[in-house]
Amino acid sequence: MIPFEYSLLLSAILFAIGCVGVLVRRNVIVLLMCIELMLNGVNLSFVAIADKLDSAEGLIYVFFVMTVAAAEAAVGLAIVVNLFRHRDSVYADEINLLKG
Amino acid sequence: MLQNFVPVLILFLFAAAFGLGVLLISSLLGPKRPTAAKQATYECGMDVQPDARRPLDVKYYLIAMAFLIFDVEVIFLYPWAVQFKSLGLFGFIEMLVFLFILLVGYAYIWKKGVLEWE
Amino acid sequence: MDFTFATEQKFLVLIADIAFVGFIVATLFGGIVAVGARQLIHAVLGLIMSLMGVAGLYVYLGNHFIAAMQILIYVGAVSISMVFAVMLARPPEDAKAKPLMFATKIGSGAVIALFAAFVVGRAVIAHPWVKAATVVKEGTIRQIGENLLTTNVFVFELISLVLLVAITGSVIIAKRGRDNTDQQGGGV
Repeated sequence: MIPFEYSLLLSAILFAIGCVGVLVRRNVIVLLMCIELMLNGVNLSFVAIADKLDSAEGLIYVFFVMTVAAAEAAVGLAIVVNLFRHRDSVYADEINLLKG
Repeated sequence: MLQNFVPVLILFLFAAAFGLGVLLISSLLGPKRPTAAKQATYECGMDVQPDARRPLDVKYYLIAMAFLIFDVEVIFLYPWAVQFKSLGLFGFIEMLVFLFILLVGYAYIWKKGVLEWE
Repeated sequence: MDFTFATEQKFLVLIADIAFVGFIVATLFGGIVAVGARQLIHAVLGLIMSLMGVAGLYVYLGNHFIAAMQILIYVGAVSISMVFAVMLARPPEDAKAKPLMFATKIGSGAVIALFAAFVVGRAVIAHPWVKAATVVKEGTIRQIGENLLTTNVFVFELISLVLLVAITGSVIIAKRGRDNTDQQGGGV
């Protein structure tokens, strides 16, 4: 129903929006949200290609990507919460203890 | 094929429009005579002492984590349940192993007291 | 793809097409809000809007189960835990005084991202996509179930390990923070 290239274009734009967010924002929670956006763009292209090829392989990968995204959100947000409790900051450029 | 879902979409739009419309009409037509007592959080009783915008306790977050992980677990039951007959005993045992590994996580968070609410 | 529809069917198809454009607009607008919003909670709401738009697009691509899964996992669980994290880790008030972002930063970020999208898109579109040899077109959820528990069965078991490590790790990290604040007497 949708032309195949349009789905891929939309997923590329979604990925680019997330990528810009990762590059320009400093808040760690927003960074995690932008990573979710990028994963969504990838998922959209997986589903589009699976629809084009009539194969279930892409859908399986969508499963795996979604699981990893959920696990990443769980651990990443736990780190953010703990970071805020210790350092009172959620900004990526203020977390520089390991910087040489 | 896809146009069969349009009534569902119309139902969603109608439900959203109904909710928003009721809010809009009551805010347009209802009388508004605010006084200090009416604006308070509770009309009787003590004033609420600390600011409402303070960090929550982390135990709410831990419950949200447990929900997130077991939500993902339940999603994996759906495709297995649909194909249950053709997958047979092998699929059943595989799913039992899957559930058992996550049961270890459940036992762990139970042991750590995440599920207890003082 | 040239079917002949009755008039009311054509009307429904028109509505479906309009809703399709609506889903695309929701996806892109929500993504931009998620990246650019000043208030964290607005960014989360934009993310939810974008995810719902993508779920609608999954329906148009013929994968209703993936759409339901998107809503259940992303909107129902991941976004909610984002909201919890926003409420737990509220940045200090003086942070608003700092400049949010600069035009040069946005510009350079957009250029890099568009370049990456261009390279990947060229590679994807140039690739000759051939259909799989044996195609059994039945319900996608049946295909997924069959594939998940036969071909990818070890990956399936590894996923449970990933989830186990995730729940254990997040509980360890978050609980240690709570115990520390309790010792300082700052617990809520």
